[in-house]
Amino acid sequence: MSWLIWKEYRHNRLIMIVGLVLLVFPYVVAVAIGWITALFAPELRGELPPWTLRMLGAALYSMALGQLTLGLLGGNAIAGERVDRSAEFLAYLPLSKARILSAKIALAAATAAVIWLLNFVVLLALYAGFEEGATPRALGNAWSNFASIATTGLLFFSVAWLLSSLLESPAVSVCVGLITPFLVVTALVLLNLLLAYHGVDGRRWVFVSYYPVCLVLAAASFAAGTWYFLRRVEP
Amino acid sequence: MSAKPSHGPVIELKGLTKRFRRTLAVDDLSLQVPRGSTFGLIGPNGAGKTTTIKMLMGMLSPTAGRARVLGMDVFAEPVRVKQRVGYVPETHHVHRWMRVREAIGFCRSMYESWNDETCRAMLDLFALDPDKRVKHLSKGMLAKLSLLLAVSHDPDLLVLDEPMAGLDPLAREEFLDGVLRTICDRGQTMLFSTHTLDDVQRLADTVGILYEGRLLVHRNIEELLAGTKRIQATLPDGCSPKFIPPGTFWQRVRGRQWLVTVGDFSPDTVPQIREKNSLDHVEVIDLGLEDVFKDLVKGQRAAS
Repeated sequence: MSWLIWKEYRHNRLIMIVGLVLLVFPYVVAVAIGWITALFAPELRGELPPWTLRMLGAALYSMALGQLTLGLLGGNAIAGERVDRSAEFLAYLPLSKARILSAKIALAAATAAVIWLLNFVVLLALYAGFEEGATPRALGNAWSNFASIATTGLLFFSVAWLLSSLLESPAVSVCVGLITPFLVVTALVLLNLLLAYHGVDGRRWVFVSYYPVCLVLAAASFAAGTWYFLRRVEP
Repeated sequence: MSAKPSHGPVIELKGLTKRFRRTLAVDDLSLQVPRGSTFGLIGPNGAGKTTTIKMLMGMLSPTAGRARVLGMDVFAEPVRVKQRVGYVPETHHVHRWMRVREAIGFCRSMYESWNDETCRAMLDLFALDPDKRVKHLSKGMLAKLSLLLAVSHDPDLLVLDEPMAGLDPLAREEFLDGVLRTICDRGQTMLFSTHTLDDVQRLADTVGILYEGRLLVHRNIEELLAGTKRIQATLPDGCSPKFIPPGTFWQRVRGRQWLVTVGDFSPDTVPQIREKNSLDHVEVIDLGLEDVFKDLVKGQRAAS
């Protein structure tokens, strides 16, 4: 199994490097803004948001950009090996489809864990720095933002995974994966407008339903993609 | 692991059929390859050779029929079958970013019966650099790496699908050396498809000729060549052949010259056609596998 996971990592190495850059970049920017201001424009230091809020912004940006990595991984997972035909190489080795899939899922799960945990720990550390009741409002909202970003990332990954299982194009799989949450939001907005037209105030539950809709779609897409890959005889 | 069956065919295809929408790629193919034999599968482009091999390897689902290898159903037990089969495809799909030693390590981790000694011997025979990346290997070296990966687990069956297509003569020779070494050393069963009929005559003891998905011939090569003759005869002025011998693959009349290739040639064939066609002159010509193949395909094309 370790060779399979190594192969998965190596196959997705470019995505992993891009993912690492996306993960770290917002933090680098947040720190760099402070240093550059201190070095070249010390008179502007008072106008900068406090470092806790800069780091909070960095954590949320890092989290959001990290979800793109999950979308890329999902889209490249199966279709990426079809497009370079290395899937055929795996197909004539004595490997069950379940083992091939397990390695792909392990890599994606590990990547998601790194992205989510790193930013979660940063948020937790920032939160812990304040006494109860003195937490800034932006930080208080951060948890719900974190949850919606994570849910969006799950949808990115799962829809891209489904398309990757069905198609031979990683690019199409990734694009559809990335577009889906926006389609969900659009559908919810339209539903809200429709309700408003009929005199019903659905704002509250319509937008709250973003989470369950995304989670159900993600679970269904992941299950369908996995099922299709497992039952398909062709690589 | 199941015990190796000591008898029974290594490959058994029964009514294997594959249809791609309107195209019938393989049509009700039934075939048995006994243990220890070398089976050459030949046919014109698009005859269904690769489709048949892919179904045999469990990489393509059949529309109908079944395929058994070493007594196991290839679709019900694909992993167990692949543990005991080595496969070299026409296009080699080893991950291009891998180094040779990484490709070996990767495959080594998959096979229960990997033999380091065989692997080292093949590495030396082919002079493959373990540190070279697959993407930097020439076509010939890549084919050799593919063969090394296919035989290093000492498979009971070796399947080669036009593995030497596009190789230069020297690379072909070295590749064939590797194949011969494998067959001779271990008495493996082998099925291979190729367009180079010299290779078939050199390696195979049995040949199958596929045409439009149908198996036209499945015979021992020596028997096929002994039983297939071309008869060149001169017809009387203005006459056409009145009697066509049974088992005729192909025939052509140009002027007074009549050429006919007979598959079931026997000592009675010439007296029979002499008697019934009042021929002026008859000559019997021995054929090589290439001529037999060409005449058979030409005959099929003319018939359709």
